[in-house]
Amino acid sequence: MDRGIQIPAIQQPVIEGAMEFAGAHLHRGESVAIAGRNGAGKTVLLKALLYKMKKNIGWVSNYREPFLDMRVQEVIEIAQMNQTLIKTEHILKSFSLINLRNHGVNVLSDGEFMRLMLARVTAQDPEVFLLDEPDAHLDFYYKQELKSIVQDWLNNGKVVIYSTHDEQWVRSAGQLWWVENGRVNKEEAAHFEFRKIGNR
Amino acid sequence: MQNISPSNIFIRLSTSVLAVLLLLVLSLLYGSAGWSWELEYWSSAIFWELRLPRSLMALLSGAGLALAGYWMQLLFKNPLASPSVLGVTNGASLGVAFVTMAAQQIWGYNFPELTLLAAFAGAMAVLFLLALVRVRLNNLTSLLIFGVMLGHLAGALETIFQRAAARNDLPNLIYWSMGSFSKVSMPQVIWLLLCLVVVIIIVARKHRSIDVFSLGERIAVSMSVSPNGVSNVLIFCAGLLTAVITAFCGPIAFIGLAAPHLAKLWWPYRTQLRLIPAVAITGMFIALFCDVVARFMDLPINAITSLIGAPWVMWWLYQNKTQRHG
Repeated sequence: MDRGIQIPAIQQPVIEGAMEFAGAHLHRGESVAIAGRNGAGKTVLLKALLYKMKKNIGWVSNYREPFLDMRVQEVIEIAQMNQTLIKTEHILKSFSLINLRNHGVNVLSDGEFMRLMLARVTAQDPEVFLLDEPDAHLDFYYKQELKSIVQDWLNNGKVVIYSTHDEQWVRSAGQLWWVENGRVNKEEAAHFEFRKIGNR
Repeated sequence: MQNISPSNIFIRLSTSVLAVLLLLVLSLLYGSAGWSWELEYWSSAIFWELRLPRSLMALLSGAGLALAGYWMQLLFKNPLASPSVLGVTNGASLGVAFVTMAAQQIWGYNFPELTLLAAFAGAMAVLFLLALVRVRLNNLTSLLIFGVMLGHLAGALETIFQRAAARNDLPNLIYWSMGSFSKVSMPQVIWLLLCLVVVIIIVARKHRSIDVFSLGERIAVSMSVSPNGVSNVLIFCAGLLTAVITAFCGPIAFIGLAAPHLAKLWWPYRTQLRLIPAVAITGMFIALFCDVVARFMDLPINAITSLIGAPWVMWWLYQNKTQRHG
């Protein structure tokens, strides 16, 4: 049975930015795009959800931990609850990281690092994914790849919430959460008119 | 890319263990009484009461300081962190300054025989204070600065004690702060071994959480690992090792800072369970090597660790620059 996933409400005074969000109930296999102008609070919302939900979550952002000193393969191994060599190999191959497996994470380019983070959450296999601008840094080819990766997750009954500045990504989402001044408005993704927003 | 075929790893590991064993034998054979390998030497007091405790203490302190330094670097995500950043070493120093100098002003008598106890009490007092403020200081950077400030505070009090002390009392503290593996007894070696075992068991039980923590705070939260929990474990383990070693041997410089970096140069793995042995072995090697040189040249251990160690690390980094960041 599809019991769906409850996304908690957020009432956050100004700690790392004020945020007001009524919560939501998402079906399995449903995706949400978080969009809004620069500084509207997209990342604040994602972070608040991460800390509030307190469970196994696939968290991807383009923040790179300074002095992170680990090999590519080890990052994938750490992310798996029951690690097997076959599964690690499979994930490394499907994200084209197999030739980088023994490289230190610190020598990866931003795009390679993003691919590693996506591979990591795939290995982690959570119910809910929170992605903060996952398409940033990816080249044309991997942007297309990312679409099919996300589609795979959705087909497996996961819930994917991502922030994006890409209109195409907004249109293909099941829901749009438009963030403005620390408030979240639920809009229809397919017919939302960006032009109305204008310059305010 | 490093070659990490199983046979290559085995060769590296066995070579390093062999090197440590070789140094251990060398350090047992040589001392202030010269070379000794006759049959009766192995049952003499020189062997059992002087050289064996000294060599074992160098071995275990090297491992302990290297691990403490590694965990501090991992906790603060700072390659310059060392066991002394939390102010634990300065706390120990202040304790020693108190019983060897300030006690004179208060009770009219000094207690140099209480040096060990005072050093341990001072170190534990700093650790306890850190634990108290930890509840409010959620931010690791704040905690780091707090620790460094505690160290400065203890250093200032120490200077005041020194200024007020009688001239005859000064050498006690100065000799203590040079560090030494030679003033230890067998029971102390066993105490340190016990602490090491306890700390390694704690870390081994938490190894996955620590690995996840090293990926970053938010990733840790997303994988149901409490960043605060992991930091407390690391602070306790590193703090306890530093406190015990500093109490027994004085503030040993450099090993805790350099050993983790050197270990990473010859060892490819980075997860807790796989890196800890390499860090410990590297610490043992540096401590034993410096102790052997200190015996040959009759110099204090702290002068040797930095004099040999600093140029060595500089050379290694210079040589490996392109490999590490290429």
